[in-house]
Amino acid sequence: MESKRKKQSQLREVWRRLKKDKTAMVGLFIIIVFALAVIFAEQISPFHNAIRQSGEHRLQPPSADFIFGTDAFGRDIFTRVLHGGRISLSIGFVTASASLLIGGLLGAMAGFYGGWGDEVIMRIMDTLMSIPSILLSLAIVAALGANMTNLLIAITVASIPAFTRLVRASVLTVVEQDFIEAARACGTSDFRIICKHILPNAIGPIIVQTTASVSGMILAAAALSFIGMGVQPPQPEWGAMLSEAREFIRTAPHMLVFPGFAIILSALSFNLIGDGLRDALDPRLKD
Amino acid sequence: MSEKLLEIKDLEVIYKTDLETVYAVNGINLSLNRGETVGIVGETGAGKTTTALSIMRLLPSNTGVIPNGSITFDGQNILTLKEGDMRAIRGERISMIFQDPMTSLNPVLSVGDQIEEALILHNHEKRTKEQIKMRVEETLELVGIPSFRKNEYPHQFSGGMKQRVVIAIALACEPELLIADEPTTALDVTIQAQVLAMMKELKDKMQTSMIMITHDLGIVALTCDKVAVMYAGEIVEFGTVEDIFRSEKHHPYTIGLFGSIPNLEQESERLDPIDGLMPDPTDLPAGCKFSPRCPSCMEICKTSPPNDYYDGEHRIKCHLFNIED
Amino acid sequence: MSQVLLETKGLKKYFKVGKKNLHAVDDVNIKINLGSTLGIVGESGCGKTTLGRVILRLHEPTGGDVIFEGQSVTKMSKKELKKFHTSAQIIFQDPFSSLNPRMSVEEIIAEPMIVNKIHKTRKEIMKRTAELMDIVGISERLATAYPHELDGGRRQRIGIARALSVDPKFIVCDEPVSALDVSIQAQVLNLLMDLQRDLDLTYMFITHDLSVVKHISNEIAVMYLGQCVERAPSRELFANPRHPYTKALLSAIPIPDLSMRSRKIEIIKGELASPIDPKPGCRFAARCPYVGDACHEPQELSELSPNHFVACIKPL
Repeated sequence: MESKRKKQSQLREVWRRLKKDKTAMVGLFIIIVFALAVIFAEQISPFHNAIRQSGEHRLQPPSADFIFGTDAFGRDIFTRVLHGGRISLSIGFVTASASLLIGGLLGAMAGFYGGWGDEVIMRIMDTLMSIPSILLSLAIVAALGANMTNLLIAITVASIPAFTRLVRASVLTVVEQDFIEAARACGTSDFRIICKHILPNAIGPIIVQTTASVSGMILAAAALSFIGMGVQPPQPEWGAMLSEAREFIRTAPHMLVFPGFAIILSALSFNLIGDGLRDALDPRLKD
Repeated sequence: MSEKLLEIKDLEVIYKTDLETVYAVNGINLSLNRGETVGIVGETGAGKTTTALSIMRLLPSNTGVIPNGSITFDGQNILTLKEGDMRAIRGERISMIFQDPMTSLNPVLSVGDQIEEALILHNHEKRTKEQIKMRVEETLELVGIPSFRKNEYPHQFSGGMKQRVVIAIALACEPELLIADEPTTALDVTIQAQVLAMMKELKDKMQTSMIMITHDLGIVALTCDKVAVMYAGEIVEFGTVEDIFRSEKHHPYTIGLFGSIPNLEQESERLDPIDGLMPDPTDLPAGCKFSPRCPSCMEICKTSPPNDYYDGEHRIKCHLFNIED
Repeated sequence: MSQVLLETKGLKKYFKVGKKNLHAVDDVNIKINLGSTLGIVGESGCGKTTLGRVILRLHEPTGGDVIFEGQSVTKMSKKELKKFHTSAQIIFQDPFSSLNPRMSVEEIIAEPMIVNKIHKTRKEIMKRTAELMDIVGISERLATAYPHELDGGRRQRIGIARALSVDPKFIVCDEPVSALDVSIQAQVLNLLMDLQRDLDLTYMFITHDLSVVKHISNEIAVMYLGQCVERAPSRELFANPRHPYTKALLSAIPIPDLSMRSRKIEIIKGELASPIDPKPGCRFAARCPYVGDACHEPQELSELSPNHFVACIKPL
């Protein structure tokens, strides 16, 4: 009971410090707005608006009817950004969490135990890293078939090495310290040492990497969609919309501006939150 | 006969940041004659290194401020010198040895090159290239490193050898004043003994004056002529080594310092340490700064800062002695 | 006759450096009596820290054995080892890296009790934590403070409280006062001595500071390049050093006394040789002023006078 209350108060402490960070709060606000918008996308503007083509409304600039304008097929860009956000943001979330989980576990094991296990894991990661990540994702999608699940798998696999390396490096700097030896000398189990002593001290760069990578993942998904290996048309997706807009960059810049802004704003907000969290989680920076 | 080389008067140093002001040095007076060694003893945060950096004019420029006082070196107040003039003094007439030999050498230059650089920067005697090379070898031999090692890099030297190289660089221009900031703290005892013996020999040979900053009273007893005991940015006691080690009268802090070291000669059950901790330098106590930890603290100590009590050259900043008179 | 609590028999720890072996601890035999303090002295790189860790089996030894209360530590199962670690603890040198910066003072002290399930309820653990804080002299208001808010002396006290939390009999003190200022150092030394008296602790006190080791130890072992070169009761060792290295080490300490100014210091030349695949024979031979041909034969510790052991072919 008491320990639960304690944990809560620690969370509250982190929240209290995060609240003081104005830029992080701006980021959080934007993300919440985005999240609400994509969750209630159907209520705001139904999906069929996003795929309904109309010859007479082609390439219209923003107006009262179409607040973000229309694209080359006369589809409402506002609705497409909304529903595209569903895909893009969930790709970002799912792949970032999956690669954090898998990469983090591998990295923690490699860093903590060292020896031949470390050797094997890291050589595999080196091999993966030596292939350009977009090529790797492409190969995976090509082999498994182009659909949403395979897209997620492809992006996750391609970003695991970065997480493994980062977590391993952070773990290594902590493992060297005497308080780990002290924990061992008290008979603490490896699992508890990793969870209680190592990860909380290695978490800073990992959180920043995770939040920063969400934007990278959104872009990777966009790139794959662009060459037809990702999200399949007519399903809207930010990156795919961006590449569709390339041809019309002079004649209809609004096609590029709105999905582009959506990507930039979400990526920026994730980075701001990441930085804020890193500072808020560090008791050494207390006030 | 003894001529004053350095005189510090009422020196105050503060470190000012947006958040707080650290009172690092609070009005110290210290003078040094040619050929003399003065030891500055004290614990972490006493202001020893800040004093040294002020003499070198190497205080961090964005935070370190000297609101008061003067430092006269050979008749010139170096606090008012232009940076360019100061550069001519620094490294040539005043040199400094830092505590950590591992980080005070440049890892990508050979040790010979590093000594040479010091010589080229201060080449007033218009030495030729050949002469400079000769001087580099001479200096290395002087600190006990065979001259054929001049082309080796710092990582090829052990800690003790590195500190010898640092000393060689400091002595290359034959400075009049050498400031040694804990020069042997990072070294093992047997290596420390080698380095201290070498420094003492060189000092006598070159007639250099020296300021020896240390926390080790043993090193003071071994190397110094005069001693300043610093506490919370003040010199609480100053005198010759005889005054400090033999006299009856002492500042309570000096007594505490001696009581804290286990005595090799005598058996004793317990040490007599000073209670408590160093005061917070951003919020120093009123009155005597040692009063919160002092075993013989009186009412007056808590309110008014003590003046110096003089007994010849021996001076003690404590109310105990001023009241007796 | 006092009872032996811990004994090492031919203890060895080699680290692999490429294809070669670094002999960190090489055939060390020591004995520690119940309730006493054995000081381990030596310069950096002599293997004293490794010895402390190998004795607690925080590093696996390469050879030899450690006997604690008649039981072989090297043959213990995981479960037995965990139990052993409630009897044998360690205090570290660096008060900054030895405490988890993300845990508060009370969490740090309570952690070993939680891990070893020493008390049943959280309330008992918190009560014991408060007691321990009182014992080592940390005021209660600091219970929720984090290590970075405290100075070195207080941090070291927390390290001591953590070691005491499992009620050990034996503590390896690895340079516990080297990183502290003299006045704080004296406070911590007094605390350690009081604890030994009140709780009947046995210490292995590792340090490079000879004046500290003399003050706190009953017996002293001098180490040089992984080997124990001399072992004797403290007073005997200081009064009558028989190994040339011990003598040089004693003579090198700067003593805060002016009468020592005129004393001729015996300065030994040269520096530590490499501990990687050392040649047989006395490892101090290259620096020894009394070196002879016989010194290149392997040296054994032999008892010259009662309880005074020296590894030298022609002791002083």
